[in-house]
Amino acid sequence: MNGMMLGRYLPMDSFIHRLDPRLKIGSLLLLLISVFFDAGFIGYGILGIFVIVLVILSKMKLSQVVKSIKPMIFMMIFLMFFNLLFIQKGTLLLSLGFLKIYDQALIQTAYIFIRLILIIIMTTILTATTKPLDLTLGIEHLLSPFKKIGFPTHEVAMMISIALRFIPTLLEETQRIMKAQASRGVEFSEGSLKEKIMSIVSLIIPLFISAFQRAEDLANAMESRNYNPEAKRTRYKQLIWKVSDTISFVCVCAVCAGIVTLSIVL
Amino acid sequence: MSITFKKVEHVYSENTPFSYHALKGVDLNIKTGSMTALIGHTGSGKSTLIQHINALLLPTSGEIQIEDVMITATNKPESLKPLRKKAGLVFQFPEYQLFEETILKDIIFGPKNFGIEESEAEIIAKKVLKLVGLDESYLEKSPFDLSGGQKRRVAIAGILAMDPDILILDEPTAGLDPQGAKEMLNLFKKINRSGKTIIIVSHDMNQVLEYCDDVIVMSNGKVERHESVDEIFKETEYLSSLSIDLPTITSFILQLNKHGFKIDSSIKDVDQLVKEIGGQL
Amino acid sequence: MEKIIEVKDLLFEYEEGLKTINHISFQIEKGTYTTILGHNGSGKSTIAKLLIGLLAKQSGEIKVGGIDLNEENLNKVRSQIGIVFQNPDNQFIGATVRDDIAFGLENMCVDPKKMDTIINEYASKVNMLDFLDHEPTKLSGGQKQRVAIAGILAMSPSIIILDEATSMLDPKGKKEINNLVHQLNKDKNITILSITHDIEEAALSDYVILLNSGKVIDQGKPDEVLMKRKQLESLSLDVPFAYKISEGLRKQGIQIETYINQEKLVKELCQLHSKK
Repeated sequence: MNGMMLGRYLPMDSFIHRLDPRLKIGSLLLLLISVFFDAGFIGYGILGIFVIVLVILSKMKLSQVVKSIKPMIFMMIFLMFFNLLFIQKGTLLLSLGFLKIYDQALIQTAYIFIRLILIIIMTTILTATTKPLDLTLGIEHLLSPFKKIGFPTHEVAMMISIALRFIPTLLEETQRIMKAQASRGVEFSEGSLKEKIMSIVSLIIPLFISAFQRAEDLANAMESRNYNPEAKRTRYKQLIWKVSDTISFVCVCAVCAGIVTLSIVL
Repeated sequence: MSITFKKVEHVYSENTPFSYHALKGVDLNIKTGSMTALIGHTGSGKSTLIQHINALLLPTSGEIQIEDVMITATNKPESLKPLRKKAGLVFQFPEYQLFEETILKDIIFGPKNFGIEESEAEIIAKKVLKLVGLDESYLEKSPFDLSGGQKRRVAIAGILAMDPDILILDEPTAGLDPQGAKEMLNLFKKINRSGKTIIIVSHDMNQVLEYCDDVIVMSNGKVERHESVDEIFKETEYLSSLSIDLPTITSFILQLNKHGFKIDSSIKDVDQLVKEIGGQL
Repeated sequence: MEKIIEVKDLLFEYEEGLKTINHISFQIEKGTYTTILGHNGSGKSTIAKLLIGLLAKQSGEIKVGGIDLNEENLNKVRSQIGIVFQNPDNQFIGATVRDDIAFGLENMCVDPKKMDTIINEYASKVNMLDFLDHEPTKLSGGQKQRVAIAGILAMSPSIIILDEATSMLDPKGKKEINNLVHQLNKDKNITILSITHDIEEAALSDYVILLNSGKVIDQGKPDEVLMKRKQLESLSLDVPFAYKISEGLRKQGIQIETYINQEKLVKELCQLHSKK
């Protein structure tokens, strides 16, 4: 779990790090949508170059980008394999018994491959350059129009930020309990189905008990510090929209508009 | 059964930006049947060290010998399972590892994992439950209905039921009140007297002085000292450089000696100290 | 002296018939350092939760700063009391030290523009100024408890309750917190109520309330309460080290006062020794 890059914040100071989280979330949404417009290889080329520029601007290392893709490779190969076999359009390129590969299948598969890579890298740029708390704050702001129809934006944001705060703590706890049970002879990677179920139970129950205990403690701590979700509160972190945010947003819109136009023209 | 470490290194997450060198060239030999305290700061490598003894962690390099079993970086994990039984490891706050519906089931969980028949395991369970100071009426109760201190006893019973030759305890008295802590340590002393090797990670120097034979001091991933209890607490300057407190009684004697008393600083017992002070007044 | 906490005939049951807090009464004077001493399960942590209204009493009276604790006054009472709980991890709410201190300020509707100054002031008071942007997983237990104290101080309470706040810390962390709390008690005149089973900590306080099975067994100055060896032992509590030594010496016929404070005992012994 230690080598995991996806979703991890990289504390650095870069142009992208300094951008407003609202802008980053909004841009990610726009870019994700444009990925699914079929603008051919030219379109993906443009998006690809744009993403590379973003990676450079965010001061991420190439190795970190590669690492973010790594955990997804198995899924990607799986998807590509089925695509290759099941799309049967265009000219037949290869025929080996029941294995038939068409040129359209090859192109479609390449598209999927590129889309997935783009999606992963874009998401990684967001999470690597935005502190979890800023991310929640951004989400809360973006959701605030829904407050009028009774959507509990503040509560949801608080829940997300507490969840994010406790993820490392609970991961640590999981490892600790796994080790404690391993010391009692549990083998998490081996054994019959029955033994496997037992080992999972020996992990899950203690984990739940401890999580509930923490939740109770945390609720007490929050309440004793005068927290009341319904009462008015001020917010320490204020989001300030800067000129650079506006310019960045225009750039993102331009790229997305370009892709959409391309897909219509093609 | 002796425990030997030879040039043991351990690096967490090697070759990543998060890599951390936790053990640096550890050479160690712990005598069979001793009761040894492992002391040092949080983050000095104590937890990493003890997890090597039952092969939860494998060394990055170097070798560890537990009786006839050799542990090296290239060991296959399966070949090391018997070690988990041989060296019972009790983590800090072990009450969090309880999960079964009844105390009996929880205690026999370990033995059963090592292939002991259920009926035999139940006999063992009764024995160890008594050893930790709870009577048989508890066997069918849920472990979650117990008080914190009782839960911990049950968790420790679960490790004792595997009949380990070595018992490793990571701060077993943390959070207990003085009475609970004393009972717990007396239990370990009793187990030690029955011939088992005991290693205790502790921050409480009073406990170390009163109950242990030897002390291992760790700092920055290295074993810096491995001496008898009497010897280690003579090194007052060294200990204070690591901001490790002296036992209350030792520091009290040293304060008196500063003002003209001449009292042997290795006295461990209050009554003996009182006699000594009385004699010098 | 002004009474800052007044508890009268307090009753609380987790389950019916099981009196966790069994009709207890005590008073705490403003600016003092009081310890509630008892073994695990004596009901001492329940008192803390009752005092800040996390649990609702069955009957009796709790007054904090002259204000009756009831549903309407809950916020008024809570704003006077800050509490540090046992587990350092489970009371760290923010993602960083900075955010955690800000949490209480947000609840008090402090102007966000003023928060940075307040955060810096109290972080430096607990010596955590260099750690403002650290995440909790990168802090030691003692550091986390110091952050908890900073978060409380920022809300300027007149009382701080320590609910076994040092029992999960290593000796270094324990010492840091104890020193900090004593200093706050002296310099800022903050009333401290420490719930503990550490007899040596109780020996250094102004007032001791001895608790067992939900009842107050004894209360008074430490050199009254902590000198009763049989009573302490019958409650599975330890006896102060200085007491053991001075009592032992008296039994040998040496003319010496009984002490619970080590420093004072050393002084007297040295004087006796030099007179010899």
